[in-house]
Amino acid sequence: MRTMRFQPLSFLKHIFIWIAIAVIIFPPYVLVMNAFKDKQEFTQTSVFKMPNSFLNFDNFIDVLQRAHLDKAYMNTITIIVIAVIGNILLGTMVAFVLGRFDFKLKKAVMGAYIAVSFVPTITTQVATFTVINNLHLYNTIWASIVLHFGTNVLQIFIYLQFIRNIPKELDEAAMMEGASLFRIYRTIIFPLLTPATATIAIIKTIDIYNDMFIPYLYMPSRSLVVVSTSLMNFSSERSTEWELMSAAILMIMVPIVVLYLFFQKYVFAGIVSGAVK
Amino acid sequence: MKKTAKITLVLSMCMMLLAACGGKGNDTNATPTASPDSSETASTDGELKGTITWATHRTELVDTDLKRYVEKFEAKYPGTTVKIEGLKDYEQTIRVRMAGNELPDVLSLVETTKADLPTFYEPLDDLGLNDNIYFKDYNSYEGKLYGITQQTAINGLVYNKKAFEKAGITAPPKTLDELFTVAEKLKAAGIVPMATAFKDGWTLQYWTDPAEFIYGSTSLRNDKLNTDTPFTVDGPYGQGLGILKQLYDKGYLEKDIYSASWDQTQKDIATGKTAMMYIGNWFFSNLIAAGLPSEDIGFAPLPFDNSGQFKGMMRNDWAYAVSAQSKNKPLAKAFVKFMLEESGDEADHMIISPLKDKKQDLPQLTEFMSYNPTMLEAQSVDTKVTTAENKMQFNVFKFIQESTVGNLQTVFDGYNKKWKAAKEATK
Amino acid sequence: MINKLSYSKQKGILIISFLIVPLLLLCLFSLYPAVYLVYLSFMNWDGYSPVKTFAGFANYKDVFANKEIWQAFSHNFVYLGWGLLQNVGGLVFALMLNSKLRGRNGYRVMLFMPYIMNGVAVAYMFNYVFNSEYGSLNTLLHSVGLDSLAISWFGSPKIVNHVLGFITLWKFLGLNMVIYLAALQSVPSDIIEAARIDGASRMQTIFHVILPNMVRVIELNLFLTIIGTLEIFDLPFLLTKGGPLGASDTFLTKTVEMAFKFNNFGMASAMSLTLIAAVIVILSVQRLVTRRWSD
Repeated sequence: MRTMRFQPLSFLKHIFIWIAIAVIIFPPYVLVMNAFKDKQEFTQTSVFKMPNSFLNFDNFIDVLQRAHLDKAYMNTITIIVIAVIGNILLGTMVAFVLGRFDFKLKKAVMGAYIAVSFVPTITTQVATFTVINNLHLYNTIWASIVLHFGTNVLQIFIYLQFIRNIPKELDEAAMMEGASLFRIYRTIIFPLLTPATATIAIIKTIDIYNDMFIPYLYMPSRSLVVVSTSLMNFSSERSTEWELMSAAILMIMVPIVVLYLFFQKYVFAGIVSGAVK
Repeated sequence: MKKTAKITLVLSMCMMLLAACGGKGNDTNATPTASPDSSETASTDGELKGTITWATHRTELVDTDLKRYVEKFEAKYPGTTVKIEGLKDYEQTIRVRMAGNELPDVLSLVETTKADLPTFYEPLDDLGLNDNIYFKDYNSYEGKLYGITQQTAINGLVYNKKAFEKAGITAPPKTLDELFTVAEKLKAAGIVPMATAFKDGWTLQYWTDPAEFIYGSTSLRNDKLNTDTPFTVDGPYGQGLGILKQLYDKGYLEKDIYSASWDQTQKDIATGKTAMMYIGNWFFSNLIAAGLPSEDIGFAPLPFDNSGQFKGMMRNDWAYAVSAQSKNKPLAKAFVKFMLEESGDEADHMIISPLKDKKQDLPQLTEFMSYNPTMLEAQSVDTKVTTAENKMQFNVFKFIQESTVGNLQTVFDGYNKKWKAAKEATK
Repeated sequence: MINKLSYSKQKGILIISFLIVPLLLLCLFSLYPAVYLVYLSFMNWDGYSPVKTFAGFANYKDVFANKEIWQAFSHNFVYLGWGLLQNVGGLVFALMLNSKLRGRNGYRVMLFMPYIMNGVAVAYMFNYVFNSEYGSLNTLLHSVGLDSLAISWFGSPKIVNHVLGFITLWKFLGLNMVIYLAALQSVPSDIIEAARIDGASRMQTIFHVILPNMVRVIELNLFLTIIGTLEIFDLPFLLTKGGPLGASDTFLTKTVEMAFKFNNFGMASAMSLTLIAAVIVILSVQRLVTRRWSD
């Protein structure tokens, strides 16, 4: 079916995408150039200049020692695992209820989720802080976990979109066999939502991984350092050690990129189209 | 299996939240003032034990120098632990924690109204340092001291000697006219005469010093209360900020000031691409870290007129404070005392200790003092002034930026109008 | 046992048990702070002292009387424009990558990459791209002889918001694309094939079959874009601090400044609520437009 002849349209597509990729790669180039420079070299040379040696790993070693990356990764992974499980469970549950049933407060529930998404979180931090503090979660890893645990409007929308495409006949068939509603959720809906779950898990993981705001405010203790806040070992209001910062940014970017490369297969596997047919 | 796990998780979340909610009502009404020293964790008869947290804005030093100081302290007082918290966006973070009644034991003082100082901070008079510190009045209320500045900063003209040499300049300018001659020579030699880091804004705050030199006193800011038009073109603000403005008008600042960032400025002065900057003496260590040898750093007073008289400005910095809520005040206070007296902070970072009897022998400071400048000390700001300034949403960085690039008269008229309204409204 | 219950009873139990935890979290961490925001907007409060006094509508009056705030809000619409462009881009790339294009997996990964990057890293990198003297963009423009285009990107009041808008597009296009891709894959392929068999062209299929099937997702992306751009904070805060001279202030940078620099939490809260109201108005307009289009 597929022929190897020249296709102008797909050629154009390739060009178009390559331009976009060039624009994407342009900025990180600076990062790579400077992560291998020592302080003197960084100060005295242009940021675009190649480093003297790509084998100068001093910055990376320095970062490892100063940023407590081991501890940071442990904390970050703990938060991500628990919070993402929470998101997936709560997100699918809310979406299942909203997508399959009619009940009195359905509109109100949806409305509440939409309404809070309007509120810029940075302006409500004083109240949120009081809540966290009164729950005795301040300066514990649970502060970050509970704040990320709940589902949000984006997740509910994505799940709802998928649930609508799961034929009701599947539920009905299961009911004929006497399955409980919970069983329908667990054995039919939840598995069929897997592609959406993969997308949501990845997006949420990235969000938590890069979030600085919550860890700063709610868990300032040194033992609760996370990956994003470990960057701040190299910066204060009066000075920033950019060559170390570059190295640190690269080091914390690599794992998440690898993770993404690994999981992206699952995101785009297109399981749903197969299942729905 | 999976099912049970899920249910357990959901249930435990519920329990946790419910339990927490139940407990919530109890402590919401606890007012910050109402806890007179609950020293059950602190030990008796002067022996220091226990754990305190210390929040600092100096995030980049948390895992290096500051950690060393803490280790030294812990070694001196066995059985004590100091937990460091390095906070970015320090002020904002601390303010939120203030509202949530959750301040660390030792911290860099965040400004409140004077009357609120005792609400949040513990008096430090019993450290026995009162007669020996600079800026004692800055964070005092009703005769009690609530914060001690972490360093004394002298503001002056920091210059790269090599850059001066290259342009054929033998000595820093002694009069205002000379300042412009020097700048012209530097410009002709292809060197940017004066750095501002204009884009970042905060580096401009020191440029109000000339206005105070001209006024002859650091009460300039407080004396605004006596007038509806504090900003006049021929008054101190106009003349003082006028120096920066002239430098800008004549093209002696960075080529594109809106791109001039603090990071780039440090690099440029270190490499001699830029020659001067008006800033505090703490800047030396940044320059040295950026590769400029100490002997190439010069430091002189900024000439503000043609009289040949010099004035220098001493300013306070972030202050050490102890939280009024601290459960271990003796240890917290001991730590503050240690940081000021024994840590070695001032030597490590080439800064001037707030303790009057500690001398900092830096060749740059000797150079500065050789001009015999009359030293002015920054004054504590009247709460009425800050209230009115907040009411008019006075951002001093932006004010200086606007004065530099705009028409002075127009800019000042706008600010005078806002000042008058704000002063009336907050009376 | 549960199987023995009637489905209507089961339904009741399931709805309650499935919603209780999510709603509890929602109330504690989102709804309560939002309600508190409303309360604060009617108070005078400096943000830290125990005393709050009633202000009535004074804060709101101040918000509407303050020209600078509305000036700053106008900058948000530049971001919105770039956000819409970002959606078009995301959709176009999603459509491209949903076809049988060679190397599409690699492309997908690359296009999503900016979204993975840390916000501080992004700000830092673009500082060097757009720096007028040392920046890579101007170096590039000079080298190809386009000197007149090599301007002060962060220094020109008319340009700076477009630069920041472009950076948001750079960062978030990948996210839009992934959401559009997920939606495209959930469009049943038999509908598309049916359209093809009926002789619809590629474009016709896209406009009359595929897009109408994903109106909800388009709306979702627009929803996120509108909220994201009208409530943008990090990027101007990190990159320009609102400069030059307030030319890149946004509504939210002003709000945060009001709260933490000028210690006026009452007014900052009133500003937040005014912003929320504005967002709702704009979202309603968007909904009206998309609904009309899809019908």
